[in-house]
Amino acid sequence: MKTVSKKDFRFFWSEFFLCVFVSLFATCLIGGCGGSRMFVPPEPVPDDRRPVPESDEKEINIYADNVDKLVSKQIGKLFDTSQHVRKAFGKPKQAYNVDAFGEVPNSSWFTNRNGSQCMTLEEISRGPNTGMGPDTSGTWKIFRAKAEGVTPGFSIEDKHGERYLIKFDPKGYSEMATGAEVVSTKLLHAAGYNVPENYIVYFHPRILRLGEKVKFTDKKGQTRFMTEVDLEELLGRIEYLPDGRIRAAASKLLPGKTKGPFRYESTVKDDPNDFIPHQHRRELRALRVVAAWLNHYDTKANNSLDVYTEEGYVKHYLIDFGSTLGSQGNEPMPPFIGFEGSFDLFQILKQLCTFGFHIRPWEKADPIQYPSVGRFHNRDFNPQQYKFILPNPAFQKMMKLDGYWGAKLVMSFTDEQIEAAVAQGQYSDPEAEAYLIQTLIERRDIIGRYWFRRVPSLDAFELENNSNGIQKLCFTDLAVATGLESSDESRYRYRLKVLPGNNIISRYQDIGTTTCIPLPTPRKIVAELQKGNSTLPSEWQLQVSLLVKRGNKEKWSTWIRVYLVIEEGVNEYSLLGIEREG
Amino acid sequence: MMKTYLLSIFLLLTYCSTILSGQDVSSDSASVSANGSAYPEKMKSRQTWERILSFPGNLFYFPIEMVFKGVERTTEYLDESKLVYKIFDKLTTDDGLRGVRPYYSSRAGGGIKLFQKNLLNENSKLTLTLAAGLRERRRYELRLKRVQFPGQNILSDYKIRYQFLSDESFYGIGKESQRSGRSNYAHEQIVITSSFEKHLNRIWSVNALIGFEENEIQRGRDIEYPSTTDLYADEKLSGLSTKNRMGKVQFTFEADARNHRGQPTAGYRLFFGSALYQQVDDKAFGFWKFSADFSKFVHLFYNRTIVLRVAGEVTEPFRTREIPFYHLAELGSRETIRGFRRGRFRDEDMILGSLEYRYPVWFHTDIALFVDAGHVTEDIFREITPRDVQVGYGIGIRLLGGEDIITKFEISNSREQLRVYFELNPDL
Repeated sequence: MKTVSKKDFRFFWSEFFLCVFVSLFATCLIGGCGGSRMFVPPEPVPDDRRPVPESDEKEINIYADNVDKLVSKQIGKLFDTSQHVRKAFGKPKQAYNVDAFGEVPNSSWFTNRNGSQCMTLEEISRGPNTGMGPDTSGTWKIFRAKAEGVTPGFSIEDKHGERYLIKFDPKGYSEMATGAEVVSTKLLHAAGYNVPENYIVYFHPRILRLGEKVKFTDKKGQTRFMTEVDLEELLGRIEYLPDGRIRAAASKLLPGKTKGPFRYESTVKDDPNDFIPHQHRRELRALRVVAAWLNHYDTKANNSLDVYTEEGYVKHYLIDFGSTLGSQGNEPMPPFIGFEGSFDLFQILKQLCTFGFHIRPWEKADPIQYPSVGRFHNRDFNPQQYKFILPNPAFQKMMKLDGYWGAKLVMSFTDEQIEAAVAQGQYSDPEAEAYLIQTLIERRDIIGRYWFRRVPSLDAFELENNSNGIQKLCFTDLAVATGLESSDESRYRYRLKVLPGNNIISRYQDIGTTTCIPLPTPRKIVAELQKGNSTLPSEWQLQVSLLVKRGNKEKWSTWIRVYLVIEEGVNEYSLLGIEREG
Repeated sequence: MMKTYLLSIFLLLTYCSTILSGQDVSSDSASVSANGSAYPEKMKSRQTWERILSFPGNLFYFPIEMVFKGVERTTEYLDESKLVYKIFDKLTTDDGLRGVRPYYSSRAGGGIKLFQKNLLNENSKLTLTLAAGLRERRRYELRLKRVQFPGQNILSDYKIRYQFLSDESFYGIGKESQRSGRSNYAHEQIVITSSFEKHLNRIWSVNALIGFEENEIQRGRDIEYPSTTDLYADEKLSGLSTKNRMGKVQFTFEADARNHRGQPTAGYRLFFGSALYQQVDDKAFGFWKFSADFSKFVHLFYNRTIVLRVAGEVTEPFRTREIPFYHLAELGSRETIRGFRRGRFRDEDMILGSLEYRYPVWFHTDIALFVDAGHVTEDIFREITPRDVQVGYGIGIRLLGGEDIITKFEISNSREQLRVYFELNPDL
């Protein structure tokens, strides 16, 4: 039997490392030469709303999930070599479900709404609502209740047989949790996410009727049948209006069969429509930006719900927004929210090692100005540094382009749309309402500035013909369109190149503040190529590289490449897709 | 063979390089197309090269991951079985007035603490502590606290305690006592006390205490060290050989201006008192004990606090009577210099200074950095020599809950040793 000598072993390792270095060198070379190949638009993402067999109900234990996300996954990441390699080479894993323009198609997860077409104020106000909420003219039959946690709640059936989950404000903070629930619902819906119908309701407790054998989870977490005494005790913990009525948020039970929460990673085995790993879905990655805007720090799996619809597919909802904006459901948002997760080892060690001399921004917490809003401000708000209650696998995978896309969603909201959404919170104090609107606007702009400076915000590309019949490529600079940057101080430049190969038609040319680029005709391109003794291939694309610069001090941005192709028979360009440096 | 292997590695890495150069997304997206079946093929979260590259790391992490999976499953079981709820439900009544809590103290050992609140009046509390530790160490204590006399602004406190401290240390008396001179003894003690406290105002209160105690020194249970009873058999060590019963009368003044009981960040606490101990079954022992203890809590910024403590104790024989060695002033352990063992230094008088810096690191979790310094002497007013001052320093972590400290863990060092302290639901 042949034994491996030490010499062989040493030889093996030296050769191994040689191979690794040669391969890495090859990677750099190949990577560096990128950009000369033809643009291949991604295959269209299949519709995931096709009828499928019903899947099993899933449960996620909140505590086990905490251990998994806070400890196990974080340590596991250290051993994930491929991630480190990707990071080292600056080649992040982009989202899977995007089209040639970086957009997300409608799916069971997301519907393009305000981000693709400006919604009317009525649409924003209505949100996902299909009715008027529970009817308070008749009695409400309680059929389920919970007393665990500090905020009590119960499920009712109104006289029309419609079922709602009723949630309340904590004592001393009237309108806070219920307002946050409804306002966030409107904004998340308009952004494109699936959310339940949430209504503000005012009812008198005398309309409540305790149903028979109502299952009730008491303060100790034990499930038993509810008694009138329990109901009385539960109502004793609620804030009442001076006229004896109670203000509540009524969340309509989702239509279909509930299948439990969805995870922000991997796919569900028994759902054939679920074919994209969740952490690689752009809408879930970009939810990080939207959630940071709304201070929706509690984005754990348990605040989501899968529902098997009547159409026969699983629809994925975000639920429970009582802990958003300035509300933590049972109290105002604690000051650390957004700055630290539930267990932030880095912060703990930092604090330990700096002997407490490092003062965390949240420690300088301002007093709560409006109890109906809670603790919600934009001081030290950094959209990328915003911390969620648990590390979210999809959020951790968020790349620059996902962040940009999320910022586009957030920036798609006009001041008036935000006002319309906040108005649905029915705040009694106009000053509190104005403060909430102002804070949302300011946080929105912080997000816009952050992302539009990292990824050039040239978007909405379209082709136009001028009076001479020459085609122009026009774009919208979102930073300018949303008022974040001045149009006078925004300069653009472009370069034209024919693919495949490295056939540059025109080197970078400044076009000043103009947002349209005249495109060369194929004849002109042939002429240009002939100057360099090149010929136009039978299949070719025109690549337009664009850069943007703000003011005189800043550098030119990273590139955006727009790919155009001549349509057969028409002899006109059509848009094939875009690429952004990310 | 080896060359083939190396070639395959090279090819594999080159393949990875090609993918890394920008083709990954489109190649993945291509797999979206239906594979002949009715539904699209599920996309992989990692590509093949990623899985190969991560394989060694995953292999290494696998056993660690299994441990975490075990923790997750255990957590899940504990939650779903509601075991913790059930235990606490069994341990506490619905109104929360009666219940049981775990208890641990390095001196008494581990055990349970049963409590009944509002027994005679609001805020009164009856507690029964049952604790046991290594080497027969045990403590049983019944205490009725904050009993208010009807119509009077006087709070009374009653305690009966039996404890058997099986391996207490004795190093000799005086500042020159050596670490190598360690012996150990068992101290069996019964204490019965009644105290009466009257609040003069929001801060100041006076307290009178009468008590009885029975002490007996026995052979130490730690066989690693000689027993004090053997080592000092021929010498005269006061209190060593005789069982004694003593009465105690004590008067104290106390000022408490702390802003929080468990973890104050501002205010001060001052205590000074005098006590007379007299043997009741003989006239061999009798002594005075004068003590003072002042703690100042200085709030620096954002819950960072400096705690400055100065304490002193003077023990003086009553007439010609003697002071049992276990009632001498002592330094060592968590109430004095934490870097030394309990009873490391004993003499008639003691002076102590302590500086502690506390700062929060996490929710309800504080870190404390501390330096303790002290000195035992025969006469505090005549001989305090700085070179004899003993110093200990260390770090501690405290888990806070409401008004109380739930857990306290401290590591302290001194020129002699490193000591670790752990307390669960300590008495405040």
